[in-house]
Amino acid sequence: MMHTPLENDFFDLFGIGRTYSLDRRLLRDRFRELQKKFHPDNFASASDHERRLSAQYAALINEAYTTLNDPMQRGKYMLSLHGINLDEEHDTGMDPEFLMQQIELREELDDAQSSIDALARLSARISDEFSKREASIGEILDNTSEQESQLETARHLVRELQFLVRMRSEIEDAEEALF
Amino acid sequence: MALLQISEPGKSTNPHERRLAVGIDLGTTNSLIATVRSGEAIVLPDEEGRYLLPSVVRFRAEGSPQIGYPALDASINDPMNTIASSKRMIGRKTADIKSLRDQLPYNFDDESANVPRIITADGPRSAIEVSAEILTALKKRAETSLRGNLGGVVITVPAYFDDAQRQATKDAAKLAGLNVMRLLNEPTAAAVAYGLDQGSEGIYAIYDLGGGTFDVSILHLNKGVFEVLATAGDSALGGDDMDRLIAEWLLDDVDDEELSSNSQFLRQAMVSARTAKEALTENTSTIVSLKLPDGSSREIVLDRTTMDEIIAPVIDKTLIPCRRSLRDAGLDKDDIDGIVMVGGSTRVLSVKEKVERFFEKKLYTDVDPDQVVAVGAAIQADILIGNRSADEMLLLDVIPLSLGIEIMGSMVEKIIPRNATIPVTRAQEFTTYKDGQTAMSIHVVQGERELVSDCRSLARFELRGIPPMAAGSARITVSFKVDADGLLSVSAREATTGIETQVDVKPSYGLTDEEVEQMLRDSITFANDDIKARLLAEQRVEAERVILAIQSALDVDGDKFLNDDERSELVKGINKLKELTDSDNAESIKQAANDLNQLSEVFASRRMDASIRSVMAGHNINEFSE
Repeated sequence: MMHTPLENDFFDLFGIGRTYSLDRRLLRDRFRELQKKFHPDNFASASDHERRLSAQYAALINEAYTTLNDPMQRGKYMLSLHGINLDEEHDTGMDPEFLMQQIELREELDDAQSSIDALARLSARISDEFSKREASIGEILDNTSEQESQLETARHLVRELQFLVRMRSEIEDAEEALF
Repeated sequence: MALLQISEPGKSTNPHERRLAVGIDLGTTNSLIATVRSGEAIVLPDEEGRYLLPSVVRFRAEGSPQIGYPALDASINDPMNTIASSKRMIGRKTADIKSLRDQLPYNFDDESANVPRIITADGPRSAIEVSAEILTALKKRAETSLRGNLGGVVITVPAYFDDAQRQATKDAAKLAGLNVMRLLNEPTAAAVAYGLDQGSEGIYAIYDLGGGTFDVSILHLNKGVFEVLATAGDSALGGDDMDRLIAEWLLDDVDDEELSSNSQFLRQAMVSARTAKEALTENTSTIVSLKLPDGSSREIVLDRTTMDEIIAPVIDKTLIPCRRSLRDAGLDKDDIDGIVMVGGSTRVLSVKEKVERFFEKKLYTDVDPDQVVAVGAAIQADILIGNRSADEMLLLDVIPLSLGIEIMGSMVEKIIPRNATIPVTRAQEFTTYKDGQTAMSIHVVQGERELVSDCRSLARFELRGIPPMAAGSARITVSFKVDADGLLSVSAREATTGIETQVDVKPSYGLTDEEVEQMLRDSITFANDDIKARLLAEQRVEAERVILAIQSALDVDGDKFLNDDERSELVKGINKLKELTDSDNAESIKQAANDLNQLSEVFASRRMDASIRSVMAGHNINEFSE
């Protein structure tokens, strides 16, 4: 029953090009346009089956939007379209340099726990590291002549984003605990 | 009995007829009901012109319960049978209520298995039944004032209500015989009332401090779309807590033991505290008169500065969710364009001052903070029932608390994170822990903490018949679906065998469907009502809804998606249901409506399919259009 939207990828659903660097404003406009049509509120007096379908579509549109709107999830999703999955449990090959950096960042977080300023500095650094990787991922995924080895690099970068996202949330928890 | 009206065969009931729809703000302290008349949302007053209905119900040994003002008046003299603040108890289990008990004077019936009940002169009553009485009173008010039966209602709930509290509210509406089209979050309702009024665009924080609940939602308003970016709150924090702190200050020198043994006295002190709090929004000082347990009376001067100090902890506590909502929305205070103040407790001056100081932004207080939620709900109800085009407005709300399931070591694996836009569906795969394991127990919880014991337990169910395999080989997919009301349903599926378990998440400690049914039958509210007549009326309304839905779809798209045979089958089904609607057999009407629904499935799928295709085809080419 859901075949139409599921046959297509999320980019098609929003009618935008399959690129990592995307116009988030346009994405949001298209998202709203779709929800204006398919949200269950439009079907409150429709037949039961139409109501059920609208709930399914609306959930799918929400999922697609959440995925594409988030740089880490978007990267993960695009890699999956290339048949590459980020299976965390069986993944070993992390860049040694980044592993070192991870340890360093963790230590800094431990030291910064009780200082709002230190946490803010760390948070800014994480944002910076995040943006750098976002740009590199875009360069690889949006390059039409991408090669296998480059996709592997992109996979590493997306995994690093995952780590940075976790760090960010831990910093926020630490900040919240200080108030 | 009035003559039944029979319409001409083949003609639908007038589809352009306005159906009556109302919005209900079921508050901790007061409740309201509103509707849209001639394009304008109005709050409906009672016969004496009062808009508020105090959310108080008094159960008596003789006669029907008193609701609203008469109950409020009786609350001091008959505190044990007069139940206020049922919203604080609804959907909560006995253990949660216990922690509230020192604040609630009632005697609880501890033996009840699932739902705590208060012992009254008229037998044990749950918070659901108390709320149902309030809803029934509002329903009567609307039906008298609008002269007709209500087609559907939108009931508001605190954004921070969990699944159990939402479900319990819906059960109360069912007991009151209301057709709930949507549970709407209170801050979102307030935003609707403001936003449509003023055509605002931008990012707003809605600060909603009621009698017993606190919510803060961050919304992005743009061209009629109200997108909630994040919500946070505390479903047990409000003006009641301020009253209690003030009452404690007033009674500082009265013996604790004496206090706890004299619930009438405590109730009276709470009422005096509230009166003083209200007086201090206008004046800088007030005199509280208090009758002491020993019979003497006392007059105490309370000035605003002192009160501000007393209630500061409550207000400070609201700022924690404010900070969290900003963080979850990924925003800074600078990104917020304004703060909408909602709920009676925002009249307290120091609440306004502290919120303004926190956000450093303009406060919007121009719509009556008591009425704004009901007004927003009425506007949404008018759209949902089809009186107004849905194109004008779209509400995109979120789930307030994460949903997850219990995994090894009593830990929680989150499946849907808080602040995910609803409706939302997520699936997660799990596997067996032991060789040859044939059953799996699934425990659904809601909350942010890592340990199961720190979260709210929603439901437990078992998936049986897993074929014996080596540990880790089975593939069990658990799907969570949260609908537009924020209500959860869960299903689980074992991949290799296709065994499926579907559960509607009725909270483990909530009412079962049978219990609701039984209460419906037993309920005092309907003692004078013929239950059969009511069921018949409900089935007729439902049948008419189905006919109307399918008929209007046929009128628009019948030629496009159906061949002659399919079309005449559907028309036949419609006519059959129409004929039965005029009979008085509720069961056969229900059956025919189900049949018709099933018959229309193919048609519905084709329409939706074409619709999404046309959108995806780049917003211009539509292969189905002429």
